Amino acid sequence: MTTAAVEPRAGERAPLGALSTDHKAVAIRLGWLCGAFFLAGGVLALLVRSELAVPGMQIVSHQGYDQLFTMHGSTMVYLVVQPLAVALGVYLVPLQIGAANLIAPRTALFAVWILAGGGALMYLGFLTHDGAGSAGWTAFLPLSSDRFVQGSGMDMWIVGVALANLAVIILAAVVLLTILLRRAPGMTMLRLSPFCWTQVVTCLMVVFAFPAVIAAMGLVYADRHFGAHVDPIWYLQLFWYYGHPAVYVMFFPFVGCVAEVIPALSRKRFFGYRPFVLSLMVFTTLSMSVWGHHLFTTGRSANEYFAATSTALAIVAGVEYFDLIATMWGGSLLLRTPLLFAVAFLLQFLIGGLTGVIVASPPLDYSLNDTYFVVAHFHYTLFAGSMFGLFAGVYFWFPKVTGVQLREGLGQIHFWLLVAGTNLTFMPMFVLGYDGMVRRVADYPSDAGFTGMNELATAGSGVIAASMLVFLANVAVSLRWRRAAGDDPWEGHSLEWATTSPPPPGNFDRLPPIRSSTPALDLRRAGPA
Amino acid sequence: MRRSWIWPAAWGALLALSSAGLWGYTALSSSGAESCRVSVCIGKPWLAPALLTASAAGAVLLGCAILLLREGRATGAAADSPAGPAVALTAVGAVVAAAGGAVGIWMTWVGIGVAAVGLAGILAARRRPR
Repeated sequence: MTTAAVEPRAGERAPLGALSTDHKAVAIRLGWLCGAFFLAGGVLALLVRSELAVPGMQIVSHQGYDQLFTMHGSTMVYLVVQPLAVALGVYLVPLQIGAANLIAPRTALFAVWILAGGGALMYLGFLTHDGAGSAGWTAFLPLSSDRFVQGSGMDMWIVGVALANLAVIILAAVVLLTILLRRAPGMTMLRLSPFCWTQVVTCLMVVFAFPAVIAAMGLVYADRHFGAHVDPIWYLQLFWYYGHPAVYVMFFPFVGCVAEVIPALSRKRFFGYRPFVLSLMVFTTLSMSVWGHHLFTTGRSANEYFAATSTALAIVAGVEYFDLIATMWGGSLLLRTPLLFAVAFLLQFLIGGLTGVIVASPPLDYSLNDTYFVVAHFHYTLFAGSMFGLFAGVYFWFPKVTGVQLREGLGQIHFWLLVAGTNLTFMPMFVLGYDGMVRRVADYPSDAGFTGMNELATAGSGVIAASMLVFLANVAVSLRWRRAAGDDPWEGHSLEWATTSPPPPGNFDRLPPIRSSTPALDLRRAGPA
Repeated sequence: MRRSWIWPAAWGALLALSSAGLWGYTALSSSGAESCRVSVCIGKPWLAPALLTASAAGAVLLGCAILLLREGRATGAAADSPAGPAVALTAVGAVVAAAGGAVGIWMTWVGIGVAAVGLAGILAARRRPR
């Protein structure tokens, strides 16, 4: 067997400390940071659901409720799912392309600290006189102007959001350039793993769409401090030019996770690699071209054009679903926790995707806009989609990152609780929205007929919280009483499975030959040298 | 020969195609400052296609830049850098400086000072022989 040597420099064996610039350390730090924000955002969600369980104000004031749902949405989007989507790339991309590190590791480290600072700033708003930001995660104008939201907490939110998005842009640029410029010999673009391809398109979207949200935050700031009287349509266009690609930024990397898990645990090669790559390119192009559907009800958008592009998304999404299902078809399925999460990702996201087709139709959107139907739709895409894909990846790569397996029994309990909790929480919201309950309200009339479904949704959020406690217990137990996983416990296909678990600084002592998109599988089939 | 520059450029071309469609739609239904069709008036009709066109141009330019850059070796890059603490300090300084926008200008000056110390640390780490 021929191998190419990788030459780590002398003195490179630095520990993976808090200030290390090794990409693995940077990604793990980012993961912990996002995990902490996820817990904070989850507590806020529980408070929101508790307030809505029954009519009347039980827990917080109306103003307090506005802060809760604003900070919940902002936390989950800006501080959890977006950075996690790129954090996966920070850890896995150098390993999967055979690089020793990111192309600009210090810049990546800088971004992590910027993200931490931005998030801290948003939360410090709770300590100010008027409280934290309270204009929703979208901060539409004129609602977010100083006529309606006073105090420095909102300003801290604006600066924090700008910083958090700047951090994600920097990380995405670093990951993208690493893929384009630092691949190992033999690793052509069409030999990249499916996960790396999802990172390519994700990072392209981040780099070319996310600056719009920083500009949008600048407009809100200018409106509040310089009396700019910004036209709300300007703001809406800029915000959603970022906001809709952001939805896909919070989707594609998790498709990538699932596209790694399914072939490995189906014991088959990935079906339809090239159509998958092509569909990613077209899918992301369309993803950049649909933002106007958020403006349907303003009567100020090119509705026909954006309805057509939004509906066309179903075609390219279908190609990806077909590839993933065909990969499982006839395979020897190993129904362990990562595969359970991957299959659930496909099913749960389908609900979010299909209801997306409904709200992509202007006449239907006129009726459903700003109702709980939309809340249910985007939670099925962002929570039921992203989180299930993320957990598929976490269970799959935990042995690679730590060298130990997560407990299978606890993993299955986590999985089934999360499935139950997710559907119990978000499915009733479709009914609530259809019946006319509007979003972003702290209370509703007791005779509106909303109480039963709200009670169900609140109970479901408790089940989700319980599932997360099981996951945390699993991590704690697995790290405390370690069971060695070996270097390649899943018989994975991509390059990271050809190195030790956890990988050494520099990632590889020797690189295997790269002749396809599945070098680790090729190496295993070639047998010992 | 490596051709990774093709992919961002191709993506930019696809975006350009989409933006051309949006320009076309807007031009066909536009009359002056506002584009009115059926019951919908598109405010600032040039804004949406201009945003998409800017992204398309950016992606094509990125492809060109990659073409001009020489792709480096995957190996040999240091896995860790002694500049980590200085980088973190610079970032903290930048955050504090930005927070001045919400808290007060004095904080911006403090942040700039902290970031300057961090930058000096990065420069010192770069000059230190490894």
